[in-house]
Amino acid sequence: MRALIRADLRNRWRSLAALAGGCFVLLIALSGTYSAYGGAAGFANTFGAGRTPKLFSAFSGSSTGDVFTPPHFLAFGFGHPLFLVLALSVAITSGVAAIATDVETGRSELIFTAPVRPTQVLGARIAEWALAELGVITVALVGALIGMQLSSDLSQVSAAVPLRASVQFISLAFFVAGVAFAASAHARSRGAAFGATVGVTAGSYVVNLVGLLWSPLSFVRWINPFGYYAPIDAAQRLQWGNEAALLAAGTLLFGLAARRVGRRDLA
Amino acid sequence: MPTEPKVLEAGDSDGNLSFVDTTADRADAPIDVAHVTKRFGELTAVADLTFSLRRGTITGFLGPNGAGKSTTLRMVGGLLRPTTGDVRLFGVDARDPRARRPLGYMPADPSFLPNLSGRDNLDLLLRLRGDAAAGMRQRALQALDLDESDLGRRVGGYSSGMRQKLAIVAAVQHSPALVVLDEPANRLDPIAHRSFCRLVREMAAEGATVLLSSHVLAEVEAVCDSVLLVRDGALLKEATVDELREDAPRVVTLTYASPPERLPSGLSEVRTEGTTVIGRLAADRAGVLRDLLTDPDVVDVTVVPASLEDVVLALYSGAPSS
Repeated sequence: MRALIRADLRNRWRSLAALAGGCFVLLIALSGTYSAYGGAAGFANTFGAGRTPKLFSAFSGSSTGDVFTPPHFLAFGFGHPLFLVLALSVAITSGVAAIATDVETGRSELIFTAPVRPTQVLGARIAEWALAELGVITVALVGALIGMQLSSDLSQVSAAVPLRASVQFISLAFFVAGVAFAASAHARSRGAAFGATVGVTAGSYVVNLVGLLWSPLSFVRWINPFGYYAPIDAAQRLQWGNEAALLAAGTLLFGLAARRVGRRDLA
Repeated sequence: MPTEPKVLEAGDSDGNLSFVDTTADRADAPIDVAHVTKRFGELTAVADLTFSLRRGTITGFLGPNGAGKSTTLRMVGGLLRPTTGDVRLFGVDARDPRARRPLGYMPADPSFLPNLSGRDNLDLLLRLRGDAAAGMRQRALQALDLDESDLGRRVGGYSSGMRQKLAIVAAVQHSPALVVLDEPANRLDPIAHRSFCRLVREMAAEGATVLLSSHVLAEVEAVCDSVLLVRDGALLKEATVDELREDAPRVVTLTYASPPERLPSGLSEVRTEGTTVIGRLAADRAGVLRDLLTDPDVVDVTVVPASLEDVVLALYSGAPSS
């Protein structure tokens, strides 16, 4: 199956490189923006010390943290909506391509007529996603570390902050990949798999945002994956409980994908 | 009442092909399809289909669009699960990966990884077969006129004909004992098509069993030992190519000295054009011909054997072939 992993990665390395490049540039640009705005003092002058607008906190994924302190701002890069779109695209496209795209394009007729079990192919595609996602996150992390050094306000922050934020992100990506692989294993077309995955992911994000902005609905945070992802909270220490919740839910979804792919028609 | 499957016999000592009901041999038949039905929701794509192939034969799989050919081949390739019935390759359920070890499969619309070269795609498909060797690759490449520079290019830049050739090479490169080809002649130029036919015949002569779906009846006539005709998902007829032709009505053209007063008996679909009478000769051919040849008013008789196309079209349209 290593041949399949290598071939798939080679086939899509350009799109992966573009996504990684996007994350890299975004995280450097955020660092630059922070310094250009005058750092924590500049934001305090604008909004008042300790009075971060609720919307900014909500975008960071935290209802309590002050997004404008240097470590939190650095970690916020890993919760920025554009970063989420770029980095989660790896999980979504990998998952959708795993089964549904192959079935729709007819590539499944070349692959699954070899003496391989469908679950072996699924396993190879999950491994391919993991390698691609780790590659993109590593590039993003390098972008954050370089951005720190380019910013006088952020250069004093520990490198462990973006590292913890990126580790926290991996668990979110694991969950979203689980959704994408499960949808791909159940769908007959890539459009259906893509729509289901994007619908669940974007819908969850919006629901979480509403829960953060409006306290009567704060409970909805705990019934969707983004409620378990707050990179600025991870700036101080890893949120192991949140990690475990996302990894457990993701594992369940991968299990559903494996169960389905072993029983479904593959053409 | 479903019929027991027949096995297409490779041939007797005189080279004549025949059917034999060898149910006992089904256990290790290259392909054994037994009472297979496949439904997609309300649609029944394949209905109680039963057939079995013997080693070393080339069988054409014919039928109009939507007859269930590709669905059947996908079940043979282990891609689709029959709703009812069994598909076995060399005695092993087609859904079992071990069954597909001796299989070479070419889909009707092959889709490769577009950003990889032809060679990389072939290597990938070979490696998915574990320790299989590319024993036939060079021979197939030469036969289909694909060279090293072609293989080094991205498949995304291939013409549809080149992709078709690559798919044929991918299906046979590991010298499979069983080759399933879904409309392989599509998009092939005449030269490549002739080479392909030769390659298929050589493989069968070396012991491979070939099941070939096609709309090109000339190809089936030239390559296949026997044919399976399906319509509406059900088996319409199974016969050797020679048997089909033998059973089909001949077209007879009679020239009379003067316009005939009455039409000759023993012919069907008769039409008259002056002194010429054209009709189809079906049952009791020898007797009817003898009568015609002894008719003093008949000055010339021409008998043209039916082509496979005539036979198949007659079967598709529901007319009896004999």
